[in-house]
Amino acid sequence: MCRARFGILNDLYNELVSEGITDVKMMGINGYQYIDDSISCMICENECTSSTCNLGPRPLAWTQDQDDGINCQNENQNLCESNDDISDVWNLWDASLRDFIILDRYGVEFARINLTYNNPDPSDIGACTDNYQKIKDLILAARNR
Amino acid sequence: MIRLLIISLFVNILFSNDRSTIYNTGSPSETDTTGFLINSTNSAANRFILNNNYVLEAMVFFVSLQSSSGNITISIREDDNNSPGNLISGSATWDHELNPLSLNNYNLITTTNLCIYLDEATYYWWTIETADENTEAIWFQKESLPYYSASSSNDGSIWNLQPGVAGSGAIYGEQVYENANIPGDVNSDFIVNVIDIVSIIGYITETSEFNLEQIGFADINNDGFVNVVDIVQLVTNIITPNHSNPNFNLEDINPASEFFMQNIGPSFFNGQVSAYYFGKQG
Repeated sequence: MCRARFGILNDLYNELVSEGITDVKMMGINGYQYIDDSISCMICENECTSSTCNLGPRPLAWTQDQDDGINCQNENQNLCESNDDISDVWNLWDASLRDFIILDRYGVEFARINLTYNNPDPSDIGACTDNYQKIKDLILAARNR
Repeated sequence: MIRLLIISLFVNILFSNDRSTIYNTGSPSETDTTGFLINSTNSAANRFILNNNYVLEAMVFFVSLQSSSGNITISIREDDNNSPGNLISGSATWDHELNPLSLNNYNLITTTNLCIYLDEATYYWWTIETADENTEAIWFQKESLPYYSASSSNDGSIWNLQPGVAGSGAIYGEQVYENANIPGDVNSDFIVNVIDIVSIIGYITETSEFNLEQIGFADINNDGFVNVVDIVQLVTNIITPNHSNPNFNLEDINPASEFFMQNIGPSFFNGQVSAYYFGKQG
C-alpha cells in the first residue's frame, strides 16, 4: 500500500502544477532494503495492472537509495557508511518508512510527516481527517519561509 | 484453527496496512467460552483511551448469538465518572443484526463516512446492548491487566466496573494530522518572524490577548512565563542561521519523470521548495 501513498503525492503534485505552483518539486526514495521489490506499480508503468495506477504513469521522480557509501563522502563523512546494510540516504536523514520531508527553498527542513500514521488519501475517511489539505498547506507555507 | 487464521488474515488485509488499530483486545480462541451476557437487562462496555486524535473508521467485535436471532446496539460513549455516559455524537450508535452463521462470531461495522472524531487523552466507552427484548448473546471476554470494562444488569442504570477484563474486538481509526508546534509561531502560519515578536510583545504589555495554545507557543524557554527572556530567545532563534539537511544525489529511474536519468537531490532543487518521500516499492 506504500505505492498508494506515493500515488496521492503524485496527485498532489499535479494539483499544485495545475494551480500554477511550479516551484515545488517532489521525489521518492526507495529504501535499499527494498531494492529487489518491483518498481513497476510504484511508478505505474504500462504493464502494471493495479487499480492504483488507473491514471497512467506517475510523473514524480523515483530513485533508488544504495548502501555503497557514495552519498556518505565529503561533507557527509561520518553521517552514514557503506556496506552496513542500512540505506545511505535514509540513514543520512534519519528517515523512517513513509516519512515525507519538506525542505524550504534554502534546503532547511520545514516539516516531517509520517504518512503511515497520517494517511493523505482525501477519499473516504480522508474527507474527515483533512490530512491531504493540511499537507498541501504545509507545502504552500514552506514557499513563504 | 485454519478458520481463525483466515479471519485474522482477512482483518489484517482490510485494516492493518493502511489503518491504525487504535484499540485491540484480540479475538477469542476456539476454546474461549466466557463472556459478557448481552440481553434485555444485561449490557457491557470496554473503556479505552487514545494517544492521538483519530477519526473512527471501523469496529470488529466477537459476539456469539445465543437466541435464534438477535439485534444489538453498539455505541461509543463519553466517560461519565468511570461509567458509560452520553453518546459522543448523535451518529455514534449502530444497530447490528447478529448472524447465526457468522464465522467465528466475527462482526464488523464500518464508519468511514460518518466523521466521528475521537480526541487524544480522553476516556471513551465502547458499549454493546440489545436492541430488542428477545436477543441473547455473549460478547467474548479477554483478560489482560490494562483492560477495563463495565457491565450492567439493570439496563445500563448502574455499571459494575471490571478491571483486567474486556470484550474481545478492535477499533480502527485514521489519525488526524496535527502540525508540529513551532516555538514562537503564535499566529500559526508555520513561520517564526518579526510578526510573532510584535504579537508576543503585545501580550506581555497587555495590549493583546493570547489563548492557551498561543501562550504555550510564546513560552520559548518553557519556564511557564511569557516575558522578555522569551523575546530575547526568539530573536536569537530567528537570527541564527538554520542548518540545511545533508545533501545527496540519486539517479531518477522513473521514465515518466522530467528528471529521468539525472542525479537529483536537495542541491539540485536549490531555490525551490522540495519534498522527499521515503517509500517502499513493490
